[in-house]
Amino acid sequence: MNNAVMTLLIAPYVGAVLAYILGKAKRELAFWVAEVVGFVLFLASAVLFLKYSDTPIDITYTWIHFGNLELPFGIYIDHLSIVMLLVATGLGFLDIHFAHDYMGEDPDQPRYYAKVLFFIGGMILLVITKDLIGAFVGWEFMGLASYLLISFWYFKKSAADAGMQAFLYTRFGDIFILAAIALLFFYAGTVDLVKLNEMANAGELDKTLALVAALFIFMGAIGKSGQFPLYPWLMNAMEGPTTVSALIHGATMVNSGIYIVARLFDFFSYTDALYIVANVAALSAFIGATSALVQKEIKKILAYSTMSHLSIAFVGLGVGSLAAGMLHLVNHAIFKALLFLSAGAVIYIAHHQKDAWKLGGLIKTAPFVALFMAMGSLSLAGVPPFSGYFSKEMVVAAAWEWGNGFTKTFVTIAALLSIAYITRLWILIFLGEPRHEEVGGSVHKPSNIWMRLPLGILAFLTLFISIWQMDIVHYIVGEEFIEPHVAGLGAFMLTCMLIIFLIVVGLYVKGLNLLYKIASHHFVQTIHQILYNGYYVEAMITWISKNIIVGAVAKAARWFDTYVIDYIVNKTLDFTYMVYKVFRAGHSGKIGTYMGQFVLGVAIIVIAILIIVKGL
Amino acid sequence: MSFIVLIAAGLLVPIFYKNNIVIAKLIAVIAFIMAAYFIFAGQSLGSLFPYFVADDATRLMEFVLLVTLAAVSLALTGFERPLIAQMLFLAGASVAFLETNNFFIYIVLFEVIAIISYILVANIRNFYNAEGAIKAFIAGAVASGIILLGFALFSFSTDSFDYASMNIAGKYTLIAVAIMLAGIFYKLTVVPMHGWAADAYSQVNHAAAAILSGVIKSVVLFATFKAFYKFLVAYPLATVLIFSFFAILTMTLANFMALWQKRVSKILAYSSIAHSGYALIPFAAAASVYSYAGVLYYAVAYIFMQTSVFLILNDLRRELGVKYLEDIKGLYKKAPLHSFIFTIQLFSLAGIPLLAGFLSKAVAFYAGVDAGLWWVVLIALLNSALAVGYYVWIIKHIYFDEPKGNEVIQMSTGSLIGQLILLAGTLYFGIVAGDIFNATISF
Repeated sequence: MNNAVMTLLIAPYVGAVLAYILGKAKRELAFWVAEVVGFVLFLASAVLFLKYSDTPIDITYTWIHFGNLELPFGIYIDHLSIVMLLVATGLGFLDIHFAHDYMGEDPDQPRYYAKVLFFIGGMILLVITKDLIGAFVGWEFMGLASYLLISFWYFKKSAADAGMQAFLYTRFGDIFILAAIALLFFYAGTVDLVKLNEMANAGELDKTLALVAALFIFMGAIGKSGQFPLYPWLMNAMEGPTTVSALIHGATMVNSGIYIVARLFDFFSYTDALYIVANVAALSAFIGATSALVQKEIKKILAYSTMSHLSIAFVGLGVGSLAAGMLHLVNHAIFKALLFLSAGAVIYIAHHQKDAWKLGGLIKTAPFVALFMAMGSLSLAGVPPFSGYFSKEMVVAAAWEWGNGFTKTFVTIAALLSIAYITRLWILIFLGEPRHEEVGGSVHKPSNIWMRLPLGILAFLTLFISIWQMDIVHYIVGEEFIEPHVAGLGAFMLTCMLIIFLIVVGLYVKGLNLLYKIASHHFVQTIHQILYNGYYVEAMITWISKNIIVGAVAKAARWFDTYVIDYIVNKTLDFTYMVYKVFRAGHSGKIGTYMGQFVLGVAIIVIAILIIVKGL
Repeated sequence: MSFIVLIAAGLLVPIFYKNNIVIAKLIAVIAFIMAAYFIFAGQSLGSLFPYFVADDATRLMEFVLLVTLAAVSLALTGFERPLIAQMLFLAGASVAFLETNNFFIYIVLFEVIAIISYILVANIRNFYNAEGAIKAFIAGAVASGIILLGFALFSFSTDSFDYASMNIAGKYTLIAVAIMLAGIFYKLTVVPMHGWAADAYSQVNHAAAAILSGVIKSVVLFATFKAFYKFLVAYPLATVLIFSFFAILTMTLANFMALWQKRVSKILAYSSIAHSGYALIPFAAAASVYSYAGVLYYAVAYIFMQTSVFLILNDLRRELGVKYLEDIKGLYKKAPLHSFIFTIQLFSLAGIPLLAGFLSKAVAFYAGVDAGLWWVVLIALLNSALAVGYYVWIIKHIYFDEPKGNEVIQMSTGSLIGQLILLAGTLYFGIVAGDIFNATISF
């Protein structure tokens, strides 16, 4: 058992180094190392899953114990961790597999695979660690890896900027986590995730402290999981390779915020923090869903849908249903990985054309990809019997049962709208006539093993995992689980979805002219602009950071730096040289001088001693 | 056992090294590994001779020492071969030196190690080597005399040399200890007994300098703390005053001197002296319960990083003729592996977190604060900041300047393995602190 844990902890980093070094020698080796390591990681997770007995794996280890300073580093693996591990390593492995062709022409493969393994390693560390400190390390590893991967094509300015943006946005959230760690360390006396839950259950924590700490941790989760207002990085992260998007949006990074709230669920429910979680998430779900309606780029549509669906999972947690939230997280991870990889296949087929409006008619050239993407879309839209239906239904029902009016309304709208944007995307890509000459001509044929197989596996999963929905729920939260039930909700949702579906199909298949006419209206265009730019949140954040932080604070700091600090520093240089010249006088290189100094030293000691003795 | 293995190997090696350096290296490495194994298995010299006791901390220090020497012997080439036998003897003497609990044996073995170090530097190839060797020898001779003077004074007032039962309340004890310390300070290169070191470290063969400045200094540091611990605790006022004064003086002077040097070896020599200054802080803080951990941590961390940088410099001087800062401009293009390891070890010396140099400083300074010497620690912190200046200056030359020539050198396998061992030590003790704390808990 412990071998599996050790493997999970160490293999990603060893693999990353090996992939880079061997890949430098021979490029294909990088892929194979990553493939093998990815598979081994998945295997290790599977072993943990299969061999799991009733008690969680709990390994405590003190990293530094010195004086009254004690930094713990423990491993804690329970059902929740295992689910996250399976998602991260399983989808991670498929993602690596898929990259064989997708990244096949890139000369920098060693770098790519090294970063991907490092990334997965960060996620693993986060989900198996017992303490906030270890979690923070994993959290930061992922932040660093996401920066490195998003700006993988660093020679493109947009990619480099997007990487920087992702780093800064998530870092902003991380500062709060660090603050939460400090708060809990000093006032609660522990940063042990399990113990915090226990203390919360026993009511031993100060309410105010717990609320502040929970909100700070949630700020970190907002940054990582792309909630309002720190979501713009999620969209710009699309500048990275599509496989990276699949990894970030499906398997790893964005799930981490939800995971940390789920891990500290009792701690969060102890205070009223969950109320805020639910409201922020509902707002984010609405923003994501509406903005996804009008995007042009395939990946941006998917990115906004990620934001929307993560928020739906967050709403599940926020209204108090851990089961609903986690179930939706798992289902979402699978179908989103499928959608992103399908999008990757489409982009690959269409010679890296990412604008959905310039594609079209691809169903003829890539029927399998179309099928798989349709399955992913149906799951995302929440159509039975695909897995997305069950979890989304559960979250919405939970929101209706336990949420307030705001949460209820917005999350329902967001859940319903998902069918609109995903159908629109699918229609634009696969139906109609090719709208761009490149796509109409020759296309890349996706290979069976490297592209269709992982897509097929994921499509299969997203369909058949529906059978085990209740098992997953019971696996995560145990047997005593109250299923939210709202009479007639399913029928209402399905009816609304059907209506929306018909409208979208009608508009995009039959009535493009009507659509153009509507779109040209002034009022609609204004709304379109707002949605297209993601409610201008990015612009607002940029404005604040530019005018207030850079313009005022940084300027003042710069003045101080230039005229005060620099002056002192420059003078220091002269000062050190002066001191050096004085000291140098004693270093003639002659042994006689040195012996003289030696005697001087002896004299100092002896005289000092004599004085002390006299004084004593 | 380890002692016998080391001495036997030391006698055996000279037969081979003239003809076949590979066999000689192999014997040495096997001897080091066997000795390390015996120590790891818990066997100490005490089972053979009286007057030797090894606690956990001592065994850890011995283990680290043997591993380091094994790494050094792997990295040696060409005319440095006589060092192999000398290192084996040095290891044997050091094991005894670290384990002894008798003051008389401490003094004798101190001299033995001093003599081995003269032989180490006597591997003379040119005028500079000779100058360095002579300086080390003369300074050492004077120091030996002074130590013996102090020891003679001390022996008037005590009838036992056992660390636990020696009489430290004698009339001349304080003076005697002060005089002995003055002699030992020479080996620890404490200002103003440092003059010889600044020259010798940079002038003798760099491989010898690695052993001299890295290995021997760490060993003396640790053994001296054990030998003098009773005095340090018994005379708190004198301890705090003397050690704080010399710690501050040493680090300040050495850092300012290092800042303006142009020779790389000279910078490293002064950095070594500055580190002696930091290492004196736990001595001054002997009253704190963390002082032992501080000394041990400092010795362990320092042995890895200092040995490593001088060995790399040795490679660079042999292959590229590196002497001055000018010569290492753009080094990363000529010798990427050397540059990389050099940089990490320099970062460790500078005290960047997650490397051994950081934690060792942290622990040593913590001990200082714990003993109430926050003002010494404050000055040490300022000095550390100053020291980053010249370490980064070296790194700046390596990575951000354009190289002059375009020759490219490879790292030899032996050298690579040796460097990786040292690097592993720096990383391990930079992340895992538990071993050292656990080893010193019983003290």
